[in-house]
Amino acid sequence: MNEDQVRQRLKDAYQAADGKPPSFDEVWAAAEVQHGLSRRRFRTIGGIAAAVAVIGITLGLWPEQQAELTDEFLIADSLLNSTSWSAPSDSLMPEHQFDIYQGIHFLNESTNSQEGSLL
Amino acid sequence: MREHDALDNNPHISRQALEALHGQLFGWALSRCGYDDATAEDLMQQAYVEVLSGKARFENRSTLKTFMFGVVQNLARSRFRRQNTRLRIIDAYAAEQDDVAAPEKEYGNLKIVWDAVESLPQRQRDITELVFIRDMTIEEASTVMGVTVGTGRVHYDRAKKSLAKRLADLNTKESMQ
Repeated sequence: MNEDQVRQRLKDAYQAADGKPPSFDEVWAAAEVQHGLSRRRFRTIGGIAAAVAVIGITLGLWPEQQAELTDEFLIADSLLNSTSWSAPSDSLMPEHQFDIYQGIHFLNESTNSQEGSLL
Repeated sequence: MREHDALDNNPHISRQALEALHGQLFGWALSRCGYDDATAEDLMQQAYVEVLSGKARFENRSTLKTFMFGVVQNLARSRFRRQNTRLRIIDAYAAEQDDVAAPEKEYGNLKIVWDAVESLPQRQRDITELVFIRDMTIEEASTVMGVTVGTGRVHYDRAKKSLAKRLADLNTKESMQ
């Protein structure tokens, strides 16, 4: 059997097996729908990933920021509510030991003058 | 050059060009999946999705026919690689149950031809189909199969000899009738 005969035999056999192909338009339309769906799915997944990343970053930064805000608030609050204040140098002053006015029981005070001087 | 109905992600492919190849491509898809119509249609759809999305990108380095046949071949290969283990288990089970059902193509002389084709190793069968049935050159067929032209030629020659030998009886039988 020569090559042409083999070829013809095979063509007949394959032709019988190949059958009728489905409509191109139908297969193409189905492919377009599938492509659209996968593109939408890709976008959705991308969107979710971006949202998760933003939330993650926000939550990751939040505790630190919150702590800073709380500290600042506490400092301001304690300053506003305080009724006494001491200068930092007060601790360096010597402790009170005597009253210089203790020995003087009576102070002469007069508005009368004599020879131009107060008595 | 961009054709008027060129695809967005594949500017060198037009819908019209694909439509012209549709019948031949379906035949190739059928033979990739054991002549199961539904699976072949699914393969075709998947191939078109690959082209639409630009995952399979045609750069005019070969003919569109070679490219599309290659896409179907690769899709079938990856799909059946995954299913292979499962199919092997099913086949083993079916063989235990009873003899495999006779294929629909077993009638008259066609059975002899198919027996001859199916007796060939897979690569020889593929190159025979691509060259004899799908009208490709050995170079194009080798590209689709992912082998060198030299290897393609060897498979082609062996397949041709083997088929001629097996089908010789058929001619004798017919001439006697």
